[in-house]
Amino acid sequence: MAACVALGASLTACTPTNGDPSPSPSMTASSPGPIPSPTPTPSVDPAVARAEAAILEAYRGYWAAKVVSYADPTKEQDPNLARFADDTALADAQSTIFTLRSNGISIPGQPKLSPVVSAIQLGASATANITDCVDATSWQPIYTATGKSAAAPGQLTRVVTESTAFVAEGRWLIRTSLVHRDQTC
Amino acid sequence: MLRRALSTVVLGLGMIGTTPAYATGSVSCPPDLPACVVTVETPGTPAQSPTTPVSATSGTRVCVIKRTGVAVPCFDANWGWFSNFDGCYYRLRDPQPAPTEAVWAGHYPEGAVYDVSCLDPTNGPGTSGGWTWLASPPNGFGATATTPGEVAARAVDQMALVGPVIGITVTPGKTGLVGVPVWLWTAVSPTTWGPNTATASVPGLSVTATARATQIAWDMGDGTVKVCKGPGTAYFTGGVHSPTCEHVYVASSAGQPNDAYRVTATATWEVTWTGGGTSGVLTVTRSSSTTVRIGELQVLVTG
Repeated sequence: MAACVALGASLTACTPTNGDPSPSPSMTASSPGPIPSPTPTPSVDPAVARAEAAILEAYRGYWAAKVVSYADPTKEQDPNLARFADDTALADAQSTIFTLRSNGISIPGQPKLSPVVSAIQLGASATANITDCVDATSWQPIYTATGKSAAAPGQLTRVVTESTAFVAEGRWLIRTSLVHRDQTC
Repeated sequence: MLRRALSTVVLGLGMIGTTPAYATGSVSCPPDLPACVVTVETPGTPAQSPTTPVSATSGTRVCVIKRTGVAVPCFDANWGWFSNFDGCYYRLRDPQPAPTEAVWAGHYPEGAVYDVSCLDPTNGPGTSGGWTWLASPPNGFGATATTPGEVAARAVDQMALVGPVIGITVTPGKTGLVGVPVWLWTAVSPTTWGPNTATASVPGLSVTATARATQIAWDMGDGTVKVCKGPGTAYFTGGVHSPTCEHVYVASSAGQPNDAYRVTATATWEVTWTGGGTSGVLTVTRSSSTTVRIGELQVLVTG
């Protein structure tokens, strides 16, 4: 088994699990930096490349389900939400649906996503990280009845979002997703 | 794993210049949303405002978020079963996570892992839920969920209420007379007339019930049922008519089984209970019996 760390276009490293520690990706408030390209490099292990594609599919499916569910929280949630999200990512989204539903808030439009997959670990306990710069300029909460903004004032519209993925029942699922509202990108 | 607090702050009116209709708004920041939203709990709330609290009188299970009083469905097809204890929905994770998952914390295969979705995260320790291992199903889980009303019934059982301790002027061994008032009463105690309070619990749900008798229906055995709204008055020397509860027989008990009327006293208890975020009322009855012999005056004169 190999531990593969794909750092976007800038660096790809695969080492034995007992080898030298690989550099791990980091995203901090002090150095948000440019988001690397999500395009895998040609030298990526095919298994890792397949995993990355599956992770991105799950991530985009998770977001698409959230967009549908938040656009009209009075409806039953999009069934794809539970297909692509699990654990706290699922719980958070369902809790958000309730918050929106009980306050008459909805979120029309679409966010722009730029996800980058990193730290793909294959094997028995497969995991990966997804770093994104979510652009919510065209995806803002409104009071459904009046159409007026329900967003708290003075917020960033492009925010760093860190998510994790894991494998359950043979499929990649989004397990956690956390928006860093204080980190723009 | 990422764990974080859901931050909630309160904004005064001055900070939300564009929404002057609202006295104050809470800012809720769901962890998966780029934008914090202004939630409004004052009058003037936009559409789909929370419904009013529901109070059950029948013991039907009612699901309420404690902090806000908002009623929610007890079961949601996506979220599972609601627990009044913590305001979270619980759904059995199907299939169960792999034995290697950390959520088992060494318990596998004991217990089960649930998908938990908390609707009122400010109640909880900082997350909206997620995978949770439990040794046994949470309260309210499944169609056989214990309702507060059922727990209230257990509290009533604990009170060990009994039927009236019948006081009657014609005690066994004596013979009363047609046309002479028969006084009816019960000895008053917590188990015969009340009030009586008890608390019963199941994990996550505690119900306190208070029982008070409201009336006693005296079936006198001669076809008369005398309903008295109090415990009655114990006979005192020299008394003729009971000031509260009596019956006058118009016929002898001769010919009845054992030549006596069978008297059955049935007390009706009203039980009020609170617990599990709701309250209710239930009614129970307790009975006891005795016999009275009634003779006619000429029988005594001639016999």
